[in-house]
Amino acid sequence: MPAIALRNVTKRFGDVHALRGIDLTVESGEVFGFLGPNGAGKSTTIDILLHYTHPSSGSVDVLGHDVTEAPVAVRERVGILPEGFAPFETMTGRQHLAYAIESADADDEPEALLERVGLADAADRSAAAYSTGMTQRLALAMALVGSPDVLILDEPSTGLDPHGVRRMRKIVRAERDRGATVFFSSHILAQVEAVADRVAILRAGDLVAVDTIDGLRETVDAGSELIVDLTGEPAAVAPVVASLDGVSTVDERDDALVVGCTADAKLRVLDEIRAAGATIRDFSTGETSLEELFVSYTEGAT
Amino acid sequence: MNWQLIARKEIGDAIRNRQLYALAATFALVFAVLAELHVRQVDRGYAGSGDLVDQFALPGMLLVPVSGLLLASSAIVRRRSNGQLTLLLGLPHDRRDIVFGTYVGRYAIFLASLLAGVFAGVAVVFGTGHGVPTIAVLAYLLASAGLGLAYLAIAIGISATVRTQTWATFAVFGALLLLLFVWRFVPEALAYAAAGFEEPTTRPWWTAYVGALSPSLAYERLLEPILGSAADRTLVWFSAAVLLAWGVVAPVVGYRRFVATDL
Repeated sequence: MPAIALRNVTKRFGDVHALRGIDLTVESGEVFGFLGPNGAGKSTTIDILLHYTHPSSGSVDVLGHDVTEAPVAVRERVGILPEGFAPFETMTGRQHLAYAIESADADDEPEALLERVGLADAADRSAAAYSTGMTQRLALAMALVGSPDVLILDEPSTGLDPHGVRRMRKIVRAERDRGATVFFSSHILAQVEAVADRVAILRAGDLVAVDTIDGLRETVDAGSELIVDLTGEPAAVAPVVASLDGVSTVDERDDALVVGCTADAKLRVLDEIRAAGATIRDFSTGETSLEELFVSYTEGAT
Repeated sequence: MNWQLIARKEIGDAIRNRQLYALAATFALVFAVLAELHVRQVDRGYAGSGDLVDQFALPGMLLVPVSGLLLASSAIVRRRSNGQLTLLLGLPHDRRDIVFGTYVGRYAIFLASLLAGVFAGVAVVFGTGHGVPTIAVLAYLLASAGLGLAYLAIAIGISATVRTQTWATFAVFGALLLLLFVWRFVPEALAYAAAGFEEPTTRPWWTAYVGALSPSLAYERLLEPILGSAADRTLVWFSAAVLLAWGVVAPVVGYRRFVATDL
């Protein structure tokens, strides 16, 4: 049974199409990164997962429960770090945890959870006086109550300093090792890259890619370019290069050879050119990073 | 059964931010002052000891509706707009738990304040060595508790329906004006319309019932037998039913809106 399954989910706000038919399955036990620029529909998707928002059409199952039919059954087994929330102004951090533990009928210790997120020092201060980062940690601690099967984190690193981001990552890994599924959204690629097993890239309400990080890297590599300046006529070596493994395209441009190939084929290409008797004057690579891939996927997004 | 947790949190919030003490102190002060006035009138022979409830009628008509409305009008909408509801609904709560738990919790705060008020009033009378009309005071307490329930329920319904506090304030103020003042003219207007837009020769029997549809007017009907005036028993029972009906219908309507909308 998948942890999360969205089938053809759409959401319309008036005549704005926030989601245009999302099909997505998150397997049990994986760390899934949900990536996209601001306004792509990430929070809307998460709001639908938690039944904060009603989908316009389509169905959403979390751990086999339809979220529209059984929102409480879902919330019982899901820990959520939402976006745009506020703590209860009359309660301390410890009281927040006590409340979450009681509502989940769990037997966690508030102290241990606050320690885990690095908030033990401020446990008895009013949460109304917490900074953004502290509030974020508090909600994470509340999400961890009852060792949930699924953690849903909406932009978890919001307001965290680098130290906090590292701690967040550590917790995500520990939760995955415990057997939990982690689904988190981010608009920052590096954060997703660091912890996610698989990613989905959302752009203007459409899923444009769902792949593993390695899979995305291969896509990147396949698109990298090697430009080799030769003293002689490029046409002489072009056929040899074209026959190499990992080479997808070979073009001649003035005195240069432009080779489209995977990253690991680059050295072979250079070796082969020299073996064929040509003299290399200079070479350069047009490296596409994951970042550029992300940008190219999400360009023109509104 | 998570509504109990919400109700307990509401009460805890009112204790922690001292709202409960402030409201209870207000009630206690008002009732104590009125009881003192009553005691002076009794001492001068202007009133009998049984007239205590006459003094209490005015805060019943004004303080109870206003505090019921104020206590609940922002209860849900404020948490909705500031994001606390997002945090609450991340826990295993149903939206029904939120509406019902808030309703029960806030009503408990109201009841505690009303009790503190009546108790303070009775204490003044008793402490100065005067007799307390126990049955009348208990009946008054029951009727006022019913009125508070109706107005608090209306405010909960509004708070669950609207999306901003500004609208909640407008709606609650409008409800108070309508139910406390404007509704007094509605039965007459309907009778006038029913008679073909002419002054009716006799007052139709149903005008009293239409009037009692407003919680405030229903409360006044309920107070009549308690204050010792002649009362139509059917109308009194009808008025009691009206208060309870508001207490059920308004939150249900609000809940149905609340559950159908996005947070």
